[in-house]
This record gives sequence, structure tokens and C-alpha cells, in this order.
Amino acid sequence: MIGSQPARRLDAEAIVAHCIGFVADMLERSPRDIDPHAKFARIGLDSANSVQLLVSLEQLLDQELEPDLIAEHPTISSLAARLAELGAHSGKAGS
Amino acid sequence: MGATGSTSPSTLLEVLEERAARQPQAVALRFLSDHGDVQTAIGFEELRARAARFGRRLAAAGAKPLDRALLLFPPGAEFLVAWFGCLYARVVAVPIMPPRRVGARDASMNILEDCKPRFAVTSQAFASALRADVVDRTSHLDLEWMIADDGAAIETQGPLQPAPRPEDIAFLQYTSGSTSTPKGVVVTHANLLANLEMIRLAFATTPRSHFVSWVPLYHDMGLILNALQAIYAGGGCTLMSPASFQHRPHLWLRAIQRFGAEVSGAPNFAYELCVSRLQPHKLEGLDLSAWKVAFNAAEPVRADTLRRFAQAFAPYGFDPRAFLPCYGMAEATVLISAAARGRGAKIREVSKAALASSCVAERAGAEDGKSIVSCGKAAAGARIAIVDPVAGRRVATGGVGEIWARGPHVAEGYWGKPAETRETFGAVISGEGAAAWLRTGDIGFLDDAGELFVAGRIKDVIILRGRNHYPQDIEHSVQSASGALRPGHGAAFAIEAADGSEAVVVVQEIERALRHGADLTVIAADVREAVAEAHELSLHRVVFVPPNAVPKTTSGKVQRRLTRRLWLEGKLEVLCQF
Repeated sequence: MIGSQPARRLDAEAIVAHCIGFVADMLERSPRDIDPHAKFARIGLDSANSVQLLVSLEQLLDQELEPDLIAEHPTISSLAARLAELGAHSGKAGS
Repeated sequence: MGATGSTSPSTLLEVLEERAARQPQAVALRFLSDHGDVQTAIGFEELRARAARFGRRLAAAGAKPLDRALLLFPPGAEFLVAWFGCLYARVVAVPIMPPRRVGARDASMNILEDCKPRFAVTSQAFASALRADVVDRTSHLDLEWMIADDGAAIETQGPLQPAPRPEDIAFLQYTSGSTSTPKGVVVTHANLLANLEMIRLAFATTPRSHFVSWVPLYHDMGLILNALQAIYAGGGCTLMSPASFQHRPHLWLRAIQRFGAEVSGAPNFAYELCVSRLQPHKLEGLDLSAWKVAFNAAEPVRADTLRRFAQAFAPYGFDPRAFLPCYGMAEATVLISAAARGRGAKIREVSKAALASSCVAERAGAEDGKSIVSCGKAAAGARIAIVDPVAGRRVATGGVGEIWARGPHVAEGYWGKPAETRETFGAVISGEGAAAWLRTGDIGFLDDAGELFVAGRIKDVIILRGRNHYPQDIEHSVQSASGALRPGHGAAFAIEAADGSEAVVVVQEIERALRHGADLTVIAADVREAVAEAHELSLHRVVFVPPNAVPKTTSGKVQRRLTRRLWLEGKLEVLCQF
């Protein structure tokens, strides 16, 4: 649940790097072609891939995330910023 | 003798009434939250009472028999209350997928124009912003909107109008057909009841057999094969949302155990997803040994998937004899054939090359082998014929041809489309009299035991995660994304991705005048966005080619298969691909 202590607290940059790598791998494209500021639909993520990205982030941050996050923050950079913010607020469990 | 043991009911409403009388408190429907908690539980009597109340509400609003009511509901049990309510009022229910985004350009507008409903019914849970957007976009159609669970008081208290007759239309299914020319399959009460009985016999259930399902209720598999079947057979159904399943596939498996489901099924991709997302720490204590019918339908059943799933879940008590591959389509209500219960999947190794030329032969070597899975024999009272689509003559046993079906479950036709109805539902086998058959558009063969093997499709439809996508719809969305793209000069097709799933590629011509000035990177992103929003589909590759690079017939028709082959072989002149 959001707000519970994450085992890993990462900054936005690290989360963006993870997302780009994961999406590039999933869509079989070069990381250079994945624009972190483009809306997910423009990169070509449909709801199924978006959920896969979300699950990879759950594993990265070791916490449960809700799909609303994707709808509310529909670019890699805004999603990463939000997750980093949530990680910073949720307590001290350091990495 | 029908499912309830008394003299045969003639409509599903009669079955519901009988169950409400005999097992009023037994759970008919349950709905689970995204975390697997029970959010709603409705008994048979409550379902009957609430549905009848909604039927009276429709009648009080002036609903006449055969008026159409669009049902746009997010996942949940409320949809079924409204659906049965329509049946009570003799209103034709038209379930459709609710739009996901504001301004979504999906099939719903075209469906509205096609069936011209009088009512549009939804629930409180359908997000207000989305609802307001749909109401706004349909304001020119004079629709009467109803929020089924808003607690509005009903004026009339009297009994409903005469009960529907078997030959009356129960509902329309818009699950097949292109988004630009949607076709509503007309399902009568008689069709529905016949198919429900076929399914009951195929699954060999008892009134205690419980179902679990996350498949969307606006889809024939989710609605009929799961929810209505569970109500008909008597054991009830526990529902989850498809999004919950995608996010947390283990919740499906947990629910099967927790609610003692004897039956649960899904399209092939779901079994694949369970394997790829398997995390032992999420499955501790999972016991799937009570899961007796794991049906697999709505898209090609892959032998590889079944093997992987059986292997991955054997430690959790899953018995591969529970696999029950099925075949069907909305035009036949839903089920056409099903494997025998308890036998597991019957897999045959054939020559890939021979099958591509419409022959069944032993494979020539390891490279040539293809495993295909039997979809079982024709459902009880249904008949299947393999027919040469050109000559219209029945093919000898073991020969490959188009799959044709006949029986009381085959629907009347398409709403308001007499020509397409004649073509699809009125096919005649040469030399076999005037009997009308349904042409499925699928290719396959029957083995000596009468088991059906599906080998492919005649038409170019792409099936992804159990949903049909028509290439011309995807091409149209691609071309609408930018003025630099030549309308009518694109080809969308599927290729097999590394994991055996389908990936969609579009090859699209750029306008000659614009090919140097256009920023293809931006256009590719525009194309992806347009397709994702209109079809909920991720394009694997967007390939831009010069004018006339896409092969066409002499009459100008795009040759998709040839385009696909040329692209795979690297023989297309490509400007840029993304």
C-alpha cells in the first residue's frame, strides 16, 4: 500500500532510467527512442503494457501501487517524479 | 428436463424465477475488489427482485418491446441486474464496453448509430467525467439516460407485461465485426437457452458448481459462458474486473480456491500471463485441486501455453485434465464445440508447411512441426461441417476447409443487415438441400473422432487478448493520425512475437510531396497514440514506406498477406521504421 515503508527509496532519475530500460525491452525498441516526456499512448503503451510497467515498478520499489497512478501521471517523467515524492514522504526506511 | 429439473423452461428468466424460489439466499453473483475482498454479494432472490424492479422502471419510462437499451457499465454485478431488467421489460439489451478516456474514438458511436437505442443505462460507478463526455457526444441522438443504481423510486407496482417468448429477441452482441461497420448479433431467448444447456452439458456441472471470472461482461465469453451460465446452472459466479486480473493475476487463482470454483476459464493469454508473472511468495498455500474445468476460448489455444501452465502450477495442485479448450463465436450465441470434461487437452503434431497450404500432414522434420490443440466435438445438438469456401462442397473427413455450424444456438442474424445476414447465416452446402449454415470465417478440420482443430482464419482479423481487431480499422486510425499518410495505402497485420503472442505491425505509405519535410518520428508517435486510444492496442512496429511500396491488386486493394511476407523477408522499400 502506498505510504507503507518501501524497502527501496529511489530518486526520480533512477526511476526514469528503470522505466526507459523496461519499456524499451518490453516493446523491443532502443532506449534512445523512448521519450520520458511523451504520453504513454504516444510511446505505444496500451493498458496491458502499462500494467506491466506498473508491476515492474512495484518490484523495483518493493511496494504495491495502484493503476490510477498511470492515469494521473501519464508520462515516464511525471510518474517517476510522483513515485520519488511518495518514497520521500513515506518514512525513513533507507536503501 | 432442463437445468432446474422441472419441465423445460423456455427462457432464462423462467430459470431465474425458479432458482429465486428454490434457492433464494444462495449466492448468484459476487464481485471482488482490486485486492480480492468481497465488495458485493447478491442472492438469487435479490437478483430477481432488483431486475424485476429495473424492468418496471423501464416500463414506467415508456419502454416498448423491442426498444433497445445500451448498457455501459464498469465491471460489477450491477450490469447483470440491468441486463435481466431489460429482459423483464422485453427491451433488447445491448451491452457495450464503456469508453475509457474522454473523447475516445472507439466503436460506441458507430454501435449507437447502428442499433439506435432508446435508452442508455449505466451505474453510479461509471466515472462522472467519462459519463458526461458520452452524454455530450450522444446528445443529438435523443437517448434517455438512466443510472440503474441511483435509487430512483418506481411508479408502477403492478406485474410486468407478458413474459418474453422463446422467439423474442433477448439481446444484441456487438463483439464481432469491425468498429467502423459494427454488426449486432441478434440472440433470441431460444438461442440463449439452447446454448446455455449445451454449455451445461459440456462442462458437466451441477447446481453446486461455482464459477469465478474476470472476463468482461460486455464480451460473449464473460457474459454467457461465465455469468449467465452460472445463474442458469445454479452455482453462481464470483466476478473480478479484467484490470484487477492484469495487475494481480494471482488474485484470480486465489479466488478460484477461496470461493471453491469448480469452473473458471479465460482466453489463452491469461494462462500465459499467470506463468510469466508467477511469484512463489504470492502463491504460498495455493491449492487448485478443486478446479475441475479450466476452459480456454476466445482466441487460439496454444499447446505451449497449456504445457507451461500445467508445469508451473502442478506444485499447487493444478490437474491438467481440467483443461477444456473450446471454440465459438457471438454468431452462435457463444459455444460451438468443447473438449470433453476431465480428459485434458488433445494435442496433435502436424506439418506447419502443409497446414499453410490447407492440408493436414505429418511434419516433415523438427522445424516443420506445429502443435495444434483440439477444441473438442460439436456441442450437444450442434452440428459442424468443414466446407470448401469456394465450391461450397463439404470436404472429406480430415480435410481442411471453412468451419460451418448449425443448431438452435445459431443466432437469427445481424441487426438491420439483411445482406450480411444472408451471406453469413444463410450458407448452403452444395448437394445437401436448403439447410442454412453459419459460415464462421475460420479454417480447420475434423479428425476421425469428430474433434475440431482450428487452423486459422479466412479473413484478416487479428485476435489479441481474446478481442478481435480488424486491420482496416487499425489502418484507418493510422491514416487519420496525420495528413502525411496516404489513406487506403496502409497494411496492418500480425506477426508472432518471441513468446508466441501476436504483435501488430503497420506498413504505411507517406505522401510523395511530404516525404522529405515530414518529421517521421513525430508522426510515428501520433500514429501510436491514435491506435492506442481507438483500439487499446500497442503497435509493435510502425513502418513508413514510399508511395506505391505497399503491394495492391489491379483493382487497388491492399494485399496484406503479401505486404507481411515482404516485410518479414526484408524485401519492402522502407523509409524508416519505429
